[in-house]
Amino acid sequence: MLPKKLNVEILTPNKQVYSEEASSVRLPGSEGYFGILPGHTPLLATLTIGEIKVENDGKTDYFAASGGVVEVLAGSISILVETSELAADIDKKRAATSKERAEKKIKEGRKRWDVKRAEVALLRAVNRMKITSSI
Amino acid sequence: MATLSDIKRRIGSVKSTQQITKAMKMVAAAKLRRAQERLLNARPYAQRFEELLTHVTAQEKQQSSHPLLEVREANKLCYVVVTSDRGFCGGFNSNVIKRAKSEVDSQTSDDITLVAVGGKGADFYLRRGYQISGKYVGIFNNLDFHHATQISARIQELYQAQEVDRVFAVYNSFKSAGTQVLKVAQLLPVEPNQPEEGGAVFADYLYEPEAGKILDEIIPKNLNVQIWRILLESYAAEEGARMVAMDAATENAEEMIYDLTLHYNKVRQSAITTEIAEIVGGAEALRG
Repeated sequence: MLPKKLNVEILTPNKQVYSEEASSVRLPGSEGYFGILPGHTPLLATLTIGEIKVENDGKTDYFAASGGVVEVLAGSISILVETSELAADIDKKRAATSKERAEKKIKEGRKRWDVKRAEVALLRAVNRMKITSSI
Repeated sequence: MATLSDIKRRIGSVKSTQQITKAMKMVAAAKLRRAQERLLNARPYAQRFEELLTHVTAQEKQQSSHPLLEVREANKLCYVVVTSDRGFCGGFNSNVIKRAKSEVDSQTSDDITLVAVGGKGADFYLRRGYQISGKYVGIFNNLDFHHATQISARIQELYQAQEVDRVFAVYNSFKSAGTQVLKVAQLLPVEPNQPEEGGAVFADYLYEPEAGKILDEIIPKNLNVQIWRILLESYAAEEGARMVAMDAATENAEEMIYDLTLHYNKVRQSAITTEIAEIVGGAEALRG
């Protein structure tokens, strides 16, 4: 018989963000979003900046996440990402200011700033803002 | 001989020093608590990441070719020495520097370069003209994951440019508030652990994208995470060492104050005795 639940843990270098049971999870894979249901075969995938959606008995939690990896084993799923926060915990103002800052850096260009880094920062900020507005 | 007021002044000075060491101990204790918490929060992530790497490399033995896994002959060595930025922490820095020195001396190769993390180590090595390929000073005050990423990027760069063939870290790991354990760990090339005998057999993974790309991603990331753990270990150990050192200093000051007070009272007593003897002597002389 297939297990009915997944043990989901979301870990970041700074803390364990989440550790609970869930009936389904949707993740931002580096090649597109994908869902994991209980009984999934073992999987290892890289993640990109995006939204993690964890569903359990009609209750849904959204998390913002920046790149990382996910390991799916029988009945458990470990999401290892660099940063992650619950949608409700996202600081909207901070995201907005870092978006502005990143945009400014990109505009000022290559001489003064590391444009690649600014672009990633911009993606992260936009991602956070999107997730706060979706709930 | 010291006069009464001299001794009194000395007691006052020891007392004010004691107040400072006491305050520093308190601050260190508070910082230690926070550092410990961060370390405990980071450990699960670091552990899971290592396990993950073990699983993957165990399964993909044939395909695990990554520049950071490649083992070369150990001609050129690099030591990452993690010290603190601030002093007043007992033997914390001298222990790690001594250990690094004995490691370096025990190697037959003399093509050795250092990466100094923390101001104390950097000062030490710069003064003595060691070859330094990286210096990270003032990071512990506001320790963040991106510091680990920077250090990691630097040693990866050195390794891939074949400027070094082995990278080791020498650091204090945190055992308890009172004990630090000196550790030497190999950072590069990455040596994946062997999966435990008889442990769970890992089912074949599906990879998305393919295994090679995933290795490309997780090997450098694992290095970041391990360095991050090392930084947190060292920081917690530093605050622990500082707390113990300041506690000992406070106790020593207490002892000194006790001895000085005793001395002060003795001197006072003998002064009074002399004075009385003089008065008695004077009265005798008058009567006579």
